[in-house]
Amino acid sequence: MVMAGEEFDEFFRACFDPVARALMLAGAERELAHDATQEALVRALRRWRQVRELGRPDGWVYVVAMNYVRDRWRRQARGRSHGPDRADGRAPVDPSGAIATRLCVRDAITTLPPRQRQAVVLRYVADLPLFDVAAAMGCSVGTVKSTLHAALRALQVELADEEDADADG
Amino acid sequence: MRTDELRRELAVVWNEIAPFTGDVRTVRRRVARRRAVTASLVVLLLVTTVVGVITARGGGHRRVEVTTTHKQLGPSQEMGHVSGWVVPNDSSAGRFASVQQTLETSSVVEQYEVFPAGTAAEMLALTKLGFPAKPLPTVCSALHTRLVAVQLRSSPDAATRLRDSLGKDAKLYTNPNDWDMEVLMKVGASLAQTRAIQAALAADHDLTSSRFVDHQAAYDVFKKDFSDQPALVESTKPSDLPESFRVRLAPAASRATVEHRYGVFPGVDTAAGPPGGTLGDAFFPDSLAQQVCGTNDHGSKP
Repeated sequence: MVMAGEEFDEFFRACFDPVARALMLAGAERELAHDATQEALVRALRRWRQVRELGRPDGWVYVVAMNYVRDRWRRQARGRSHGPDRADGRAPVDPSGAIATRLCVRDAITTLPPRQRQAVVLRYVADLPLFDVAAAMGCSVGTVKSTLHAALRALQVELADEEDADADG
Repeated sequence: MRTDELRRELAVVWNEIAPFTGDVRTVRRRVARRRAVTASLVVLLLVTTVVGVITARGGGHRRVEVTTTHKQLGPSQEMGHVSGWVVPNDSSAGRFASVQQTLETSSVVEQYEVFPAGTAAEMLALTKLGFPAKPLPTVCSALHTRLVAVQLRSSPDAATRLRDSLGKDAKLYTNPNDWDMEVLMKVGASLAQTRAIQAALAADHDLTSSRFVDHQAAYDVFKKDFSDQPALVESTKPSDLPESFRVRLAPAASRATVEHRYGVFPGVDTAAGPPGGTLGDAFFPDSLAQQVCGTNDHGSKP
């Protein structure tokens, strides 16, 4: 029953804030972002020996935390008898106003549908490879690519070829 | 705009979000707690394997809506003492709702914390005990259910009463330890030092109760634990064994803070949780683990 020692503590300190902020960028409310990150790190500690061997242990935490957020949204949507399904509808409003909307890209990202927003955050904030983004979103690499394309088009970002190169690699 | 500009813009937005501060101790506590869940699951597995009885029939069509959840802890709350684990007899929503209703209305339940379905089985699969990751033993299908940690009111028959109320909906596995933390005195601690601890414990709002284990009581346990080594027992006097206080934490108390508070008292050796460091170990002796691993459905040893 060996508990990981200082190594995990260090990983925790390096990981918690970036992951939680990324989740907020992806549309999670602050409390949910905190809970999801904490839950992901609990799971990471439980299997720390396996996680630490990964190329991107933090990537694993992003994936697990994002899954947690999606599960929560899905459950909330199921719990509502009326109204639109948040997981498939518009992004939730950022209640704290933490995400400023002065520049057009910021305006744009807050209005992206949740799945597009998640894809953008995992790919361009967490810097995860497409394969990991697909794992985090529970879909194929092809779906991630098309989701990203739709998001980038909405954000008026030039559709670069790098996504294709990445996916093929 | 190009993707590298998008990255820069996102970094700016990211920077505007107020930083998060996580508490690694909370994470460690939760891991310890979940190991306790795993442990109770293994106990359940052993019981069901040996007895060969899985009473997971009926009840699936009942749907009881529960709206009051004032005893249920939120995701960011921590329970103090865990008196036991409630394991529903099947994973249906109706069964769980019925269990939850019982917990809400039971007069012996102080508070409870729900662990989501699936995580328990996942943890069981990943435990170092070597259960096959997939497929899980068939009997484990009964374990794909939500689990509930409960804190009972201090009443001698609380567990019995809750068991009666739960009936065929769920099983209750009680924590064999009625304490959360032990303040272990040094062997040569003076009477004044012991009294000082006693007074401090009595006045501490982070605790709900404390029990003193004197030399003789410690010796009785020692004799039992080492009954197979009579020479050791004979050469040990009660005064060779340290005295201790066993305490229960209040619901909102931080274990780390309380441990630190008493760890620095003169005459105190250590202030810590049950032997092995976590509640999980208390629930789950290694010998039992080996036994279960050797008798799981696949008949495979790790």
